[in-house]
Amino acid sequence: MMDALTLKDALFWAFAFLTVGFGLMVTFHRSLVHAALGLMGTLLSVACIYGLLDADFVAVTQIIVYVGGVLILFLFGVFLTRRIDDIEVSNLSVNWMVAVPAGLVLLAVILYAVISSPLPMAPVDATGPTVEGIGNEFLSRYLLPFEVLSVILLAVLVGALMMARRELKPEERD
Amino acid sequence: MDLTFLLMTLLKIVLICFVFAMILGAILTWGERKLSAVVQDRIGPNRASILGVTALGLMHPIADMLKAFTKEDFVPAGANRFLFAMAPMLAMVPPLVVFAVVPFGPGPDFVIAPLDTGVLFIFAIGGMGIYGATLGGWSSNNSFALLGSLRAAAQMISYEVSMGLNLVGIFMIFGTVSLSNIVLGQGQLLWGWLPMWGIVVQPVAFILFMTASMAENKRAPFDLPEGESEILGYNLEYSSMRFALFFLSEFVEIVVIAAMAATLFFGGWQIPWVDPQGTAGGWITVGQVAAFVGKVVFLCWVQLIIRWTLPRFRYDQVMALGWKYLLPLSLLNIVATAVVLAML
Repeated sequence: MMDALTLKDALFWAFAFLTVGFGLMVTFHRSLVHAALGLMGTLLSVACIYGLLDADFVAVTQIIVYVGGVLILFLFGVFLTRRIDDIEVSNLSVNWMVAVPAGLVLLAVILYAVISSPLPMAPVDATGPTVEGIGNEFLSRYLLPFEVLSVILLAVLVGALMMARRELKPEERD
Repeated sequence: MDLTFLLMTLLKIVLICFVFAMILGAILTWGERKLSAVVQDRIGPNRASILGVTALGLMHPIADMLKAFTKEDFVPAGANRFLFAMAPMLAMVPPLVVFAVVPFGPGPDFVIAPLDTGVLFIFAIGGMGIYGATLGGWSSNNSFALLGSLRAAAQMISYEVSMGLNLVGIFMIFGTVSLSNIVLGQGQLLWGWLPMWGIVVQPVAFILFMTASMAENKRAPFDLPEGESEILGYNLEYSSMRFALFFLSEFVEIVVIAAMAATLFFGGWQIPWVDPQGTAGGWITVGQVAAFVGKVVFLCWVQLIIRWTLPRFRYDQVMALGWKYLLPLSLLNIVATAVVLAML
């Protein structure tokens, strides 16, 4: 007989290590395609941690948006780039003199935020369905941020289209 | 979470994923050949036999399997060996995982994981099927395979959008995304006699959903990513069991689509007017599970018929259909459903 808490803890640590491991792969693998796959591993492990924390909606949305959408478009772009498999050019570490201090500063800020914020450490016992609650909150209390975000995304979409069109125009004139 | 629970879950996984889905998928390869033969006025496969027993050609899936296992496992020069081996698995696993949330009968005993986010889970996992096709084509180190995988990625991403939006009407009517609760909701009666099945209340969504999901599955008339008869596709360099995995994953996905359509649009395990709450037990429960399996088999047959009836689209037509027709129609369907629900 296995105690439920220890099984959950074991899974949590396993996924935590997977997240970090895949994250290192993203950073250090020389091939861009492998780095993208490492990113897939990271995103999936994070989704599994969300699932373990009973945040099923967040977990599923994470997979739909990032693994099923964003990352595929990443790969799509990478495949269309020339010489991506050439390890000499694809995923080089450039400007590490700037990158390392910047990373350390970011790490410090995040650590400070995590340590100083009062996170509830007690387990939440009432973990029922979350979808309905999230939907209701979006369309009542958080309606304005929700709508503003959708308008921003729409603007991004239109902007991307404009930029793509502008690059096409000179060719059409020929 | 005790040991009996884990063992029961394991048993359900084996029964549903490997016995039901895989075997139905294997039988579908036979069904497709026989059906195509009937459509084209031929006899179809009938010669493979064990000790003289041909069983209408049912021995052919077994012969296929033996062939796939014993053929040379070829890896092209310059291929990325790791990804080349990974891709067929990435294609095979998501359609099997999706069965975790499909309710085969009333109550929690007939579903592996009765997730509250059921349909969203299916989209999340099903969306990962793109990786198999995409990485398979890229890792083969072959330009034709790469082009095929680009076609696959673009097509699957495009149709995933409208596939998801089609179902919003269903969510609005039944007020839930949990598959078990949607099935329960379909047990209600409209005007006291008409079963409130998804296809009755959302007929447009059903047609759009079937179109989008068949495009998602890359089968004719949307088989441009592989174009097996002439244009070459992402699985071009694959042979033996690796190719068989790609091939079988497509047929398992037919079962997935049929199971989803049966659950969302044909009342799942509901038998009209009989025990809508699924509490009767006994032979009625057996009948309800049988009803679900029957609906799945029927919807598989529908997909095979469509595949052998329609010619292939051109690629620009596939894209135009996805973005210019299916997507606006799904949005219109949502608006119309909202207006009707608001007036009621």
